[in-house]
Amino acid sequence: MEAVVTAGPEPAFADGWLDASLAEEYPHLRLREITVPVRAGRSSRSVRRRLEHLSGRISGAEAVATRTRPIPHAYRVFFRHVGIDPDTQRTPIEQAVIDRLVDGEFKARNRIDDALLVALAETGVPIWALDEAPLDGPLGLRESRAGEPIGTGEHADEAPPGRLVLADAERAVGVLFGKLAPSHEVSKESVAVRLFTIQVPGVPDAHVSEALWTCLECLAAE
Amino acid sequence: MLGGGVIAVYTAHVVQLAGYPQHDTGLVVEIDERAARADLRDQVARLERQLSELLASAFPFGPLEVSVPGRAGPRVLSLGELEIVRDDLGDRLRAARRTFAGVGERQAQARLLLERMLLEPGHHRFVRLPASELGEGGCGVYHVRPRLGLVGMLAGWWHVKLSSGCPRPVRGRAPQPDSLCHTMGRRSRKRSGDLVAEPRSAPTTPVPAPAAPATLRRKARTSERPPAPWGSAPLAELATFAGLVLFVVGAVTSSIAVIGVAFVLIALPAIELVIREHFAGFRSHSLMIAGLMTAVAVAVGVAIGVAHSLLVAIGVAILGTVFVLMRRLFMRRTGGMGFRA
Repeated sequence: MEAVVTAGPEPAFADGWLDASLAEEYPHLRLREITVPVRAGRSSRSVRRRLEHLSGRISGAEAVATRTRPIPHAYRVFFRHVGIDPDTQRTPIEQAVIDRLVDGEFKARNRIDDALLVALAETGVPIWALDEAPLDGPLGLRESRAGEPIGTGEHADEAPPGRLVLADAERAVGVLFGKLAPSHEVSKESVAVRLFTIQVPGVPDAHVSEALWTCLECLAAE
Repeated sequence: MLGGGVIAVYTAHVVQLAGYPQHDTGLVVEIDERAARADLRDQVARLERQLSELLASAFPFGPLEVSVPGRAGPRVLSLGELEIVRDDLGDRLRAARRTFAGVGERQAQARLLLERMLLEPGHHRFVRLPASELGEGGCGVYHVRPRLGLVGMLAGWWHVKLSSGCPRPVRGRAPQPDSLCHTMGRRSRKRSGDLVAEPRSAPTTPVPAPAAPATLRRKARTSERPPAPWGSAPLAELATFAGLVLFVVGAVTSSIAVIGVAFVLIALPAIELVIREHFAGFRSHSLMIAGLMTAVAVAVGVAIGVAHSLLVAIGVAILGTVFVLMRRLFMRRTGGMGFRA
């Protein structure tokens, strides 16, 4: 369960751990993460303009065609493989496209959400963020245990046993492609966040790196 | 917990099922479930790809049911569960292909009808073909109409026009694609089940006029008035003005011919407006048009010296016939409303 830091220019992306049984079952499944300092507030003008530009790319026909593109298709297939109906619980990129059609634009919210959205819309690779402070060690994927809560606190939900969850060294912090623990969500008080992504089979490394770099670029934009 | 696969020891069972004499052969068959699961995942990926491409190629035909129930994920599915997912996807793909093939067939028939309409518009009078039935987006409708309104109808000058734009939504009511975008005439509705054109002379069973749509008000709004074919140019006003000037000139010079031309110039814009409003279903002018036709016929009859009693009979017959025809036409245009002020 040791995190492996991949070689490359700084900052380096680390590989999260995978439970041995999961690694055997899904040999190409990877979790990649990086910790970055953040500050609260609105995203920069350039990021908001980038969101506006990305909004212009989406149309009804594009929304339908999204599922046939290689990266979104890889996530759809993986959803099927793990027993999720991607037409009921949409893949992140399809959900973003639907939200764009409903709202009429990619709505700018805050620095972190906007960075995650830009990376998702540009590459199709979803990135999530967790507050760094309550995390204990590198993130990984494993099956949940009986009666195991997701996160901490009195509002922590219990996941049924065998559910695929994100976890740190100590506890589960979220359901895979599902809800993250409220106790670990990024808040205004967060000084650093753990960005992570799930690389499913069929998604090239370059796309994952590109997504993370895009996210970092947006977070750093002034 | 998932590693290693399942080791099944069949020994006597395998031998017994195969019909061989039962011996303790010590045969051990190892089933690699992980390889089977990987194979099933490949099949699921292929089916998902085909289903996605089918849905994308069906756009903008409309919703195609492609949803396959999940298995309470995310979790590692067993061999049996993956088989169920694979089978469900296969069933859904077959059903979607059947639906799509049916749509393709209907679109082909619609395209054939459109070609026939374009080749022989006179044999497809007033047929309306929504562009959506051709697999095109939007609310356009191909409509066989007479050139120059009544003149074209009488002269047999027909052509296909493509209208565009979706009807405006009614306040407080959500637009319904079936009722708004697919609005079509009685003839087209009758053919909606089979889009292949019927010959003009084919006997048709009379269909009662449908009820007027709820979106149409009894009192026409000025904003709904059909635009003049020449746009916003004040042609009618100029013709009326010219008629008035000629009328004065005719009166001063005591020229009956000039006064006659003046009368025609003044009457023409009014007649055009009456025909335009009536044929567009904006306001009904059945009696006015019937009266005009009767007046023309009587004038011609007087000019050629027809007997007065016969002239009265012809006039009454024309008045009644044209009135009924105009009223029916107006009802067809408004979807059942016989009078609209």
